[in-house]
Amino acid sequence: MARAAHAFAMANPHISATVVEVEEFPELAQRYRVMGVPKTVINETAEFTGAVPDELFMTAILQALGKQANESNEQPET
Amino acid sequence: MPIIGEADRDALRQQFEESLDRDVTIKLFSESEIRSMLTIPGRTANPMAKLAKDLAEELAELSPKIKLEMYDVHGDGVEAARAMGIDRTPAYVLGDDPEGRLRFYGTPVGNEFATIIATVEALSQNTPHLSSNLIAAMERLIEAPVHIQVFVTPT
Repeated sequence: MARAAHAFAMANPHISATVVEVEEFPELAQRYRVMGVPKTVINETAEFTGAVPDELFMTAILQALGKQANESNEQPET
Repeated sequence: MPIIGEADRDALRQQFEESLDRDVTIKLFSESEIRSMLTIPGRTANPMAKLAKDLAEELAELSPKIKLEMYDVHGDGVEAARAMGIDRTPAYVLGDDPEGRLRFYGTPVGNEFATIIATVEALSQNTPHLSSNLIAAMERLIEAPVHIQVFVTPT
């Protein structure tokens, strides 16, 4: 997920992506209740644990922005 | 004793020769080694400072296209850290983005070293490894700031 997060930030100027090594920053692990890794938190409002495909990652980003998840499927590949 | 083993160094050197296209900057925000060894009342010394610096230097030695910049957050790097909102060290900022949007807090050892390599390669090729559909959808739908944090462990 770390790699994907960086890729998302590369692809879009509105996105920033910080990967945190939790053993060095236990206070962050505690603040974000990291019980398993990788744990992904988006805008402090959406989160998931484990690896997911890029499309689901995008869905979580849209949820964090309060948008309909299915909007990302408007233009299927032709 | 180097952190990256000799065989890995050789393999990475060869890999970078083929995979890297344009220069990539890595900014390491850290504490100076001397300061990190001092015990300052009210502050915890950061034993990771030296490891983070050594690893960054070893990585930069693997390709002339990897440009390493080091900032001491208590010295000459104060302004740069403030400008990017770097509030923890060690912090690796990957690429030239003035806001430092691609970051790694901590020392990327173990599996996470591969993350740094993948991101350096993607930046150098100026190609995020995402489907063109997804990139187009992002352009259409993302108009507000999104901050992603991914919490990882080194193993």
